[in-house]
Amino acid sequence: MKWLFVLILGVGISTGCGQRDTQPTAPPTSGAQAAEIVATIPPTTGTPVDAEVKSASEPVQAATIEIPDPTPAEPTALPLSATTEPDSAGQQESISDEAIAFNGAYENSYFRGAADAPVTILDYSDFL
Amino acid sequence: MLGAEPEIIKNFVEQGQVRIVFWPMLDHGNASLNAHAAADCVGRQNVDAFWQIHDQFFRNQDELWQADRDYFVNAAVAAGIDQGAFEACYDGGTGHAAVTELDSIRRNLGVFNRPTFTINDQLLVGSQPFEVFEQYILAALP
Repeated sequence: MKWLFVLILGVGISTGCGQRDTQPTAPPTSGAQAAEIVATIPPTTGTPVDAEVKSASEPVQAATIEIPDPTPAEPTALPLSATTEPDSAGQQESISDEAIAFNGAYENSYFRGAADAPVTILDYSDFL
Repeated sequence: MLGAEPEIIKNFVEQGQVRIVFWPMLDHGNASLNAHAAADCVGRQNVDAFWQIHDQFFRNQDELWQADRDYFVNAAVAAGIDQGAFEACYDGGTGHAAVTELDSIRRNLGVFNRPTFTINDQLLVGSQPFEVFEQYILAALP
């Protein structure tokens, strides 16, 4: 009987040690740690989720802004524009018919292209 | 001009349909006067070099505010112009006189907004994209 008692005692000790070895090795997440993780998640918006869902379910109105054609359908003489820069004398544009008919025919001016081209662009510009 | 000019050249000037005449506006005192005079002095030796300098000055116009005689001499020489002849023109006032006269003519014509264009008998004021020039040119072509 003594050997039977020793056997039972040994089995009992062995079973107890096995139960300790099966415990999870990862540290438990305490309540304080969980609270810290939640606190470090940045808030997305101050808008309640319900409000966002509601606005998303509302129909989206199509834009009704009309984009104007940037260029006229047919070329016409443009009115004087305030966006252009007056010269240093601050004089207002009052270009004459003479200027429009002038066509740049002058010995000291430079042109590029064929001298007999049907269209002449006269470019009044300052390098600066 | 520059800006839309390369497209105008490619699409119309090279086809013989358009010629572009450049007319200087001297609106910024000596900086304008010297730059246009330098370009004129270059053009007196080589018209193609004038257009090279013309494009270069428009692309680097910020530099022109501080440009001095050496700047223009270097630009002219880089464009293949004889330095001595350029200096004689520039220092002798030939270029200055020529562009001053052209500027006087445009003022007498009443052209004061910068830039201003005429496309045959049509007036176009202010910088414009190629598409606008294209419409005017197509309307002016016979």
